[in-house]
Amino acid sequence: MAMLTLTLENKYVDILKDLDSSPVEIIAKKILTDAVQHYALERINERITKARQQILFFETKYGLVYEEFQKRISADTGFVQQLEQADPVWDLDLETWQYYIEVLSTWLGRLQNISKM
Amino acid sequence: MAWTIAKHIENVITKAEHFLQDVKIIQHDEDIQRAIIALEGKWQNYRVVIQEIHRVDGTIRYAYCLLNEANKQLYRFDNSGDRLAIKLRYKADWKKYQHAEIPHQHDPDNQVTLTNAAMTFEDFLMWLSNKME
Repeated sequence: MAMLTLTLENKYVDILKDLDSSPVEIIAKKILTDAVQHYALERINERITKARQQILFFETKYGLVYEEFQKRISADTGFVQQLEQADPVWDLDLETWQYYIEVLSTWLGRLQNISKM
Repeated sequence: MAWTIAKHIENVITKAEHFLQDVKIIQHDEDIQRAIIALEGKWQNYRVVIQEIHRVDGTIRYAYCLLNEANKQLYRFDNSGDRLAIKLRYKADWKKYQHAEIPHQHDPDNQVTLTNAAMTFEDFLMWLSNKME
């Protein structure tokens, strides 16, 4: 566990003492942990939502999920020709699609870690 | 954030806006382990599409494409795991390197040739100025 020392202004120490009979250090640690967890969850969920929206955009555009799309372009030359006719740089979508799948995987992993707190 | 690529991406966008017309950002995202910038614009009567994916280990997946008015791809410089490029580099052993990132270029006649080194956006703009002027 990484240790981080924070300084709390006297006015907050005083109010915590007045509001709770537990030691200030314990109350402050709990409040801070809860606040950081809440903040982290919010920010992680923003990243997850963005990645999911991007993935959904490509799934809708190509009518397939990524794995099926990969299989189709590997096996179906007619399909690849259609894609190339529609846009010769269609394969850059594939790179972006994969990018957001990796982003999603990263943040789902981080979410799992945070949720264990 | 332990890693940031913001300055490089900002530089790419600035250069694109300086050299190209009607620049449109297609993708721009900076995450903790990777970042992407994709944009397109016009250069003379050509369509230019570029994409860079930066990874935290310093490797870059890139593609710089030039298309004509009919939207036919004329040239492309990239390091995707192109099968022809991998065969050119590794010959009989190519199957061992199926996802290797090999810097190469595609010409208008669909020929693939290996390039000596990875290309940057600056290199591409220089090539564009020299080759197409």
